[in-house]
Amino acid sequence: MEQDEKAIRRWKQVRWPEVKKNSQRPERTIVFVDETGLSERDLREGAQAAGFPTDLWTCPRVAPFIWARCGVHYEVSRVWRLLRSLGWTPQKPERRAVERNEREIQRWIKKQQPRIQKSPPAISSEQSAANPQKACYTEQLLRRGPASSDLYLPVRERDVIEKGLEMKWARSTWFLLLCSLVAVLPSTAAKQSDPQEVETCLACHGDSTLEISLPSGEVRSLYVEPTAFAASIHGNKLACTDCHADITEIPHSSKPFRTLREFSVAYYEACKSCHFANYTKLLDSAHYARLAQGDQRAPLCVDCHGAHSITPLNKPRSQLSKTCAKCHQEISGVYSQSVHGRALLGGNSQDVPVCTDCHRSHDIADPRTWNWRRNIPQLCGGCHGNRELMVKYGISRDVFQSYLDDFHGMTSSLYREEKAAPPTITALCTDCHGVHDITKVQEPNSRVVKANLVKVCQQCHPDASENFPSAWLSHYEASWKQAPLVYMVELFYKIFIPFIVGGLILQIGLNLWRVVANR
Amino acid sequence: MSDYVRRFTLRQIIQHFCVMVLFILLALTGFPQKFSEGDWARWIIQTLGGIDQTRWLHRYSGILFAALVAVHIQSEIFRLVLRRASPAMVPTGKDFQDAVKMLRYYLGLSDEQARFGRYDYRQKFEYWGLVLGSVIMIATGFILYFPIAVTRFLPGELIPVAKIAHSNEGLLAFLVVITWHIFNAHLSPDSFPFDASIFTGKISREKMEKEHPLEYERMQELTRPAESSQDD
Repeated sequence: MEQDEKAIRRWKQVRWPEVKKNSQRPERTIVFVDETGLSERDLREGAQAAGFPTDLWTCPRVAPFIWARCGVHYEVSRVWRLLRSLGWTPQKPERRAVERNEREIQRWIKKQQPRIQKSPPAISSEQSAANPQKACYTEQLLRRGPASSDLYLPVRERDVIEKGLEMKWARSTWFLLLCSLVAVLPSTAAKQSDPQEVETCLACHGDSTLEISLPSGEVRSLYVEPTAFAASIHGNKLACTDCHADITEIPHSSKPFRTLREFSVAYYEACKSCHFANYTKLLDSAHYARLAQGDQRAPLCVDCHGAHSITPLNKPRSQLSKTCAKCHQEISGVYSQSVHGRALLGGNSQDVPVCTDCHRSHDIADPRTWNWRRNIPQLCGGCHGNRELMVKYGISRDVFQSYLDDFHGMTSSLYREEKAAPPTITALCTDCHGVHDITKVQEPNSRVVKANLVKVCQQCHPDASENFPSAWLSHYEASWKQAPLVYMVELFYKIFIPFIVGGLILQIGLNLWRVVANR
Repeated sequence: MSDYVRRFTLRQIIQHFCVMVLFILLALTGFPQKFSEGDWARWIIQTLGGIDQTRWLHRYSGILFAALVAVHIQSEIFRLVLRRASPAMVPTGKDFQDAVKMLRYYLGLSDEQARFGRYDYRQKFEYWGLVLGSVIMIATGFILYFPIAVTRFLPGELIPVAKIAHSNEGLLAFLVVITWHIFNAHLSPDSFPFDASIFTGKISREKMEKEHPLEYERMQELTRPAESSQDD
């Protein structure tokens, strides 16, 4: 991974002194804010005003925004520094139950809380009552009786609680009543699923004949296979209402959905409350852009991951490509015939890329844009720049470096820094090798096998003759066997340049030495 | 008797000036392409307006340079044939003897320095290096400029050969210029800080007598009957 080392070295040279300075003297960041000319007002207008599909600012959104607005290149990982200097902090939505009744909570805090604070006197009143979570523990303790001691509380606090309870146990039945009131308050910290709740739901939804007809005529089975849910990733972590948070009563109130898809889209944000990072990535994806345009066919979380029987998608890895194939059938068919696809599906290799290795999983970008195109060599270079890996599959170990050293590769790495697509096109990996239909170079039907190569060249160089493709050394460094003429000229200059320049410098040195000796 | 003698004609002054400007331009637009991964190279390319602009600037400078070399070679041959110029730049056996003599002097093996004519062996070396190097650079440069047309008649392997030769020959020329030429024209104790004779066309009588004694004597003999003209 030579390229990465180079990038790190470059980063160290250019950015590290800045970062170091910043970390030593935080006030320097303000200077950078001035440099970008970014004002808080720009951000206050919202991400939607800046052309993003939703109104949420994320670091990967602010960085290109600064670029577009101020022409200053900011690394995504540094954006938070700038935002913080503007007084912005990350805002992660707090987990709150949908059923919360704010007015009732305020009323309770005003009227009931003071009563609890007064008794029992042995419990440090501030500690227990001000913190409903602890009050919940207290309630559990009461249910189990005073002998229970397996609570996960620090020893000192537990002693206090137990002592207090022992004293008051006999005559504080009203306290029990109050505590059960406290327990009604949402406690969102608990991550354990409530098996009781799951059982309650399965009393109906465990019936395999249960189904519902929608106005569109679609019939949806409401059966939840208990074993499938138990075996899923969420099996022993979530209860039904953690996702189906709108279900508050039995029988459930009717829902205003005409089609199944409308229902799924409405449930789209249910995953967000836990999987927030992936949710924000999704906001920048091509899939979400389609959804934001109103295309209900755009994939939702559940379309790839499933709903009740969620299992890791990458076990086995081929499962990932099969998941994408649900919608992208045509491309998937092409991929399965490619060198990568055949190796993957044949089970011969775990090194080959599946869809998400190139396209990423949540922040899937539009591959038709310049932003995508300019990173293609680095994308392929991620594996093909790995020399050991290339040797393992009998590919030239210089396959990536030889591209970068060539005319096309050098141009592409310079174009890579351009903000917009440059006026001229330079050949990237995929322009010669194809995208999803990449084949082994040696195969007779390969686009880039010597016999077919001239056609590939002619895509951009229409007048190219049969001789032209041999100007390209097929990703190999010149060697005695591979390209003897090139190798000889290279060798000649390797000897000739030091010989001439060394000789001249030697004579200059002798000349000066004689001048000094004469004095 | 004036303190200066004329050493270069206006044509030579203009040609040297053009070579200098074009050489700097070509190096400035060429090396960032050869070492495109360096930060300095990226900075130069950005400053020039991108890689496409840099390449066009390089090609235009190259065309001008090729024209200059063509004009120079054809006019020198023409002048030699018509006996309007003396073959002072042509290397002779004496140049090799001079080189050995000077090397012995530098090494302290003898105290005798070579006596030079109009051009000494170092200047001849540099001149012929430049002319032959230019021919290689121009030939390979045009191969790289028109690879499609070239491969219609010649094998494709010529393109990478031309690329290697062009970039290495350019590097060699650059290294020779920044060591040898800069030393002889600027840093050597004889000419420090700046040997201006190629820009003014004049050289001091004293320096001429010291560095090119044979040529000076020849000039004295030529000019003795008529003291007026000192042109070559």
